[in-house]
Amino acid sequence: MNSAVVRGEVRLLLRDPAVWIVLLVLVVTLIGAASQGVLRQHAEIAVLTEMANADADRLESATWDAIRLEEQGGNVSRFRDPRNADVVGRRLAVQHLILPPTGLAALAVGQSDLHPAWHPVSLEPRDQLLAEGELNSPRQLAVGRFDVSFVVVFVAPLLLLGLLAGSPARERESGMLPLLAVQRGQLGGWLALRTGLRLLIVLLPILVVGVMVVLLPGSDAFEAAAFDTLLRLVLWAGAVTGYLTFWAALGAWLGTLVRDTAQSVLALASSWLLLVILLPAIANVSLELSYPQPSRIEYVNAMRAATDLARAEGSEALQQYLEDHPEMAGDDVDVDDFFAQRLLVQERVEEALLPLSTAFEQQRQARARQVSWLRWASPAMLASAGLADAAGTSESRQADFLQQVHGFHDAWRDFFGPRVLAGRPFFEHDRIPTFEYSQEPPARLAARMAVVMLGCFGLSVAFGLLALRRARSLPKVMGNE
Amino acid sequence: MAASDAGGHCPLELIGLRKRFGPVQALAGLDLRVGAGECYALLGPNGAGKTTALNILLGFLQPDAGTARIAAVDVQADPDRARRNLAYIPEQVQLYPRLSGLENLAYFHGLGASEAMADAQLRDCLRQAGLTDTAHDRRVHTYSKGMRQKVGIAIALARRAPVMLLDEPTSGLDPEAAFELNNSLRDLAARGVTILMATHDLFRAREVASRIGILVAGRLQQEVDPASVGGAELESLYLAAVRDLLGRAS
Ligand SMILES: Nc1ncnc2c1ncn2[C@@H]1O[C@H](COP(=O)(O)OP(=O)(O)OP(=O)(O)O)[C@@H](O)[C@H]1O
Ligand SMILES: [Mg+2]
Repeated sequence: MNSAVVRGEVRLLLRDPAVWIVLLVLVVTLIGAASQGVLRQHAEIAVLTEMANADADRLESATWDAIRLEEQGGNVSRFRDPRNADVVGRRLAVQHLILPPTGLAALAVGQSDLHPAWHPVSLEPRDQLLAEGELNSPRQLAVGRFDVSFVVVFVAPLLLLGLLAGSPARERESGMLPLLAVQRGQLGGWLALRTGLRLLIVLLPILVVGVMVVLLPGSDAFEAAAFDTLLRLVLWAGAVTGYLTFWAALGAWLGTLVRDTAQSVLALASSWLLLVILLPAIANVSLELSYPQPSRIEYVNAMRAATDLARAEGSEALQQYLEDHPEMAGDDVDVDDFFAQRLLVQERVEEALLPLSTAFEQQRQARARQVSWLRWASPAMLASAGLADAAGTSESRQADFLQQVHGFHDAWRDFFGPRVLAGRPFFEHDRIPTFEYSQEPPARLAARMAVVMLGCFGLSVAFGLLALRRARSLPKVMGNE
Repeated sequence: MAASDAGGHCPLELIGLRKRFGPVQALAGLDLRVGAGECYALLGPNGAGKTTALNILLGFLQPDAGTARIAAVDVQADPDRARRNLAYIPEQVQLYPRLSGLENLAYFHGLGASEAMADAQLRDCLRQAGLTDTAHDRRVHTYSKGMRQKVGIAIALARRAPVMLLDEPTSGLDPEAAFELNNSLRDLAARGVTILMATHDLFRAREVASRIGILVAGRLQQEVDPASVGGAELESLYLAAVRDLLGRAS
């Protein structure tokens, strides 16, 4: 085989209107998805920046107010006093912890439309914080899931299969295969070349748009992590290539099994339906049946009951609680003080709820494990999870962020708790803990993505070998043909 | 008769070939050896098994029994290697309609060659096959059947294979092109190419072939030396062979 064949194939593709239609559809959907992603990312970065600024401003003016009040005196309610540790820890110093979008966030909505990219941390109890965060993000809920990942996972295979439907069915129908086979010896390499070129037609525009979106000026304004962005981009491109190579190999193999274009279209469309729509749907149902989402209502009810109980038990119980937890404060705590009491009740409630929240966490983890198994049910699920992971919008990055939020929340309460209980004026505004998001080690992400790519490329090799074996024996004269 | 090449092998051998399609016995023990530089014409009525024999030689069809060898390579065992020594002109040459004749030739030739042929050489092949220069760059969907056939001939000529198989190559060709094809085949044979041609054209077969076989009901009924018979004589021999067998059958 020589360059004349490649040139001939390219000519055939350029002269085929179907190729241009595929390109048009692909480019239009890509541009639509990419621009939506970029807009979403910009809006998100704006919101997050504004949030961070507001937090800083609020804390700064609280600091100055505290100094001013102390120096000049003045009347202020205890509920608004910037020298009250409870007021500071609950309201004035509230910090919105931010999960910084990666340089690739515009490429995949992933789980980010289900989970907010921030969580306010204050002295408020944990679950309430999370619930509030969710309710506060209708903007995110309103955005659909039409993103570049959607184009890659759903649209691209369909277009690729459209290009593959006639190869080699059309040659078979028109009776060209015998001459092709005699000229070539066997048609394995020929089929690989044609499949590869068709794969490139779909793959290249996606990669180009992906790279453009990421390298577009301004998109990495929030996180100028060039290495991280580059690594994610390479992993993303690898996953896209692996996934579409799988479809090309599958399409090539199916193409060698069928007799004509009609059968070919039927086989390819069915495989798409099965792998992209049906299997993920079945996997979802099985997930919901075996590992349902923890019930928030159950949690809220339990919390109410525990709160009522803690309040009803009164100050002796609180005193007892304090004695059981000597690390919380010294002996001079006034358990009848409003702020101290509220904090203690809150602590007791949380302690009472610990078994339930642990159970919920275990359920969540079991569900996450199940999800990571289930994605092997279909390459579409594998790819979609992988693309979100590369873009930093995966469930796992979100869970890791939540861990950090919880950790910081604990630090927050360790800092403010004793100060609230002590009931002394608070002037340590500059010693309040600050949050630093710690990025996952790149090797861990790379390892997870390698598994996804291995899966896709492994399947590609398997179907590719099957296709080559079938192609070797093309054309077979079938009975009564 | 040059029945075998230097190594003692026949470039083209069929030994005891049998093939059945359901109730139809397409080949019933066909033995045939064609030496280097020989042009063998296979005559026979419709359904005699000519195309079946060629398909087995090409490796597209598995015989029920018997062996087919091209240049001493068992076709069934290694079709890939056997085909490397083969050029083939099918009964209906099908090409890519969106490519020109020249582009089709470059494509098909490129499939089997490690290096691309220069355009000038490709055009020479097309000319030799009888395709006029004005047609070289036209898309094939504007071609007549005969023009496509000529591109097919050019593809086979450009391949320069030691063995050539032709299935009714003159069907659809105008008389001049058929005449040119015969000249080309004679040239090839003179250069030592082994040719096996299935045809219904007694007249042209007699002109070009060095041996003629009459295949009826999957069996070689008679071999004729074209040099020793006239056209009319060949026709009556053919008719006699066919009628004899079909008469016996009924
Ligand atoms: N794929 C097939 N399935 C079933 N029967 C077949 C098949 N191919 C050929 N036959 C049968 O085998 C017999 C031989 O067919 P073949 O095509 O070899 O004849 P032929 O000599 O080439 O005829 P023609 O001169 O019409 O081209 C015929 O009876 C045909 O119906
Ligand atoms: Mg025939």
